[in-house]
Amino acid sequence: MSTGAIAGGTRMRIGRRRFLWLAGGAATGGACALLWNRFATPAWHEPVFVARAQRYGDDIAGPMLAGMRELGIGESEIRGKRILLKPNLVDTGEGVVHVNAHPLVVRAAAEAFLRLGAGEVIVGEGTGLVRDGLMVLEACGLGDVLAAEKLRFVDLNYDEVRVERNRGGYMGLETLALPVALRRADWIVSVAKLKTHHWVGVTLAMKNFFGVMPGRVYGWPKNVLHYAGIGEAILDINATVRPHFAIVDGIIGMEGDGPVNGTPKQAGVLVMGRNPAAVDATCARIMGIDPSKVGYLAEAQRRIGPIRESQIEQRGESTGALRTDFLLHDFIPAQRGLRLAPTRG
Amino acid sequence: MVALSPEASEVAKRCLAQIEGRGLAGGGFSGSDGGDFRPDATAWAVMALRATGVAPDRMYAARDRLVKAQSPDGSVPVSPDQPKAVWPTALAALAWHGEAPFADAETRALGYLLGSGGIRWQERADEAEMAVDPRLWGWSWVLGTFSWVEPTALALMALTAGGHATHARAKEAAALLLDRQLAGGGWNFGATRVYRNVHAASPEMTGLVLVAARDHVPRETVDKSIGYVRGTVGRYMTPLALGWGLLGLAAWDDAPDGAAAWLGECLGRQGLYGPYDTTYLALLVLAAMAHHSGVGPLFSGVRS
Repeated sequence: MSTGAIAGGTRMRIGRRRFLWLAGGAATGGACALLWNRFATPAWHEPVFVARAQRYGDDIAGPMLAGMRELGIGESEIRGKRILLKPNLVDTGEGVVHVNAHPLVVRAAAEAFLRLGAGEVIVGEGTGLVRDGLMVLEACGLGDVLAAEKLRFVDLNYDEVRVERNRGGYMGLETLALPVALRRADWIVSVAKLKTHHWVGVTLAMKNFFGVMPGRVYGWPKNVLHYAGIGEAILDINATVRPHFAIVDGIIGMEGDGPVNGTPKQAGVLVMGRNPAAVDATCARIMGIDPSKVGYLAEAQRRIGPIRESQIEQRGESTGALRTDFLLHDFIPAQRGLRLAPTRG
Repeated sequence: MVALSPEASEVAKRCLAQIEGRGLAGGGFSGSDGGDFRPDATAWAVMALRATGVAPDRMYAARDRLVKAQSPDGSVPVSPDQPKAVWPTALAALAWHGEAPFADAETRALGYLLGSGGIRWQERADEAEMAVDPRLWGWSWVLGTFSWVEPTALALMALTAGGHATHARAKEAAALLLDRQLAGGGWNFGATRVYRNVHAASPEMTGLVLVAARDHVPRETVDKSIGYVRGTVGRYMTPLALGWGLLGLAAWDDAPDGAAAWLGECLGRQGLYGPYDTTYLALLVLAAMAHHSGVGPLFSGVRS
């Protein structure tokens, strides 16, 4: 057992053998046949859109909407739908912009979906470290945005829960208790933050879904998932929740000792796509991190979505041009050896 | 004893009306309008009703519903399909406390608490990674996981109310809570330092621990934490931060000006966030009553 389990996390220690065993077991049980078949299809490609966005005060909804259209998302798909935005809110982050998904990015996402004809946009989060999720909302400024835009908030820590079969099979938990708000939504959207993480290397669109797991079932922090393995939990949650879209706020991200105590890092990007693994892999490259060296992302390639460059169809800006290496600490084991090789030329 | 102000009385009355509207036909309370039975919501509702002087017979069905939710080993899980999520056990014990028909249920719950707890380590963790002492035994949210601040504080409150204040487990719980206290004052969920960074305190956890530790630690050991809550209470008009902040201060005989007005403002924010969970409403009732009743009786129902 690592010390991380105490401090609110367990370092990602998924060995290849364990993954093969777990994945094999799941496959044998037919638990993830669809995902598996999808992986097995050599032509599995996913588009990801990268937009430049330098300041939170700029028009964010415009580039976001352009990106969604570029990804084939239009009125015919969104009209009348109930959209659940799941922002990454981890701490109060008063006066700083690098801790939580920025409220203006959440607002822009809501605006973009409403402009595409969404019937309703809801914001849902279940904070894991800070017990008082409403306090985080108020402190980071999202509460004001909710009020101004009349967006309904659902505290996922306290929502009624529904027990569902764990479609991932990595953690050894047969079922997951999930908030009913997820299943009442037509579209589930990860609104994540571009950050390094001291237990699993990076926290992006996939890791953000830790916040859908109800605290009253899994505790604060969601320590059941830490003991089962953070990486395994990320994979299981994503395989079970099956999100529809991901938006990563990389205008100002966090480097170093994330997800709470790192330092601001301007990347000036918004990254979005339908597949969270492909989105996260693209984000990692922008951060100068090799996604294949991040344990859960490497495994995501098999089950959740492609992380190889050759399987990600890059739209919008080129990631190479936007790469800005995020600080990785040698004294944090989960961050050692993650650096992406320098690009040539 | 301080008289309950009209403002505080109004807050308590409005909260109680919402809580009572969530009473279920089969006994017990839901956490939300139209929701299902929840043991934690029921225990909190009972504590709120009791604090405002509701007659025990009006709470019988709720307490009895908690008995029906109790497992043979004495624990009270979140739901039958989550038998390892036993953290409501301490809340149920507090809700049963002082009522003769439920003495056996309380005894079995306390017995369960005394014999169970979070995972503890044989050796201290690597100091370079983290600072807490994992050898100390407290309670976890869910069986098979680590001891965290909130379930440990709630268990300590239940044991104290139930006459086990001097038990070795209560003493170790108090030691664990002090171990998790941040050097600058305050508590968070239970991690003080990870790698080279100190985690921040939070008002709700600090207030809770100040309540739980009241009968177990000398004031000088928590002075900085009292100061932390003093400096943050009223800053956030949210039920957990404000409710636990006020209760934590009241536990150490501190009553900030304007508390009742803050509670009213907090309650009004349901217009923004939607109807509060029953546990939040109950917490606001107890916070409104804190200086009228004294913090100890609020949670135990027994006046000293």
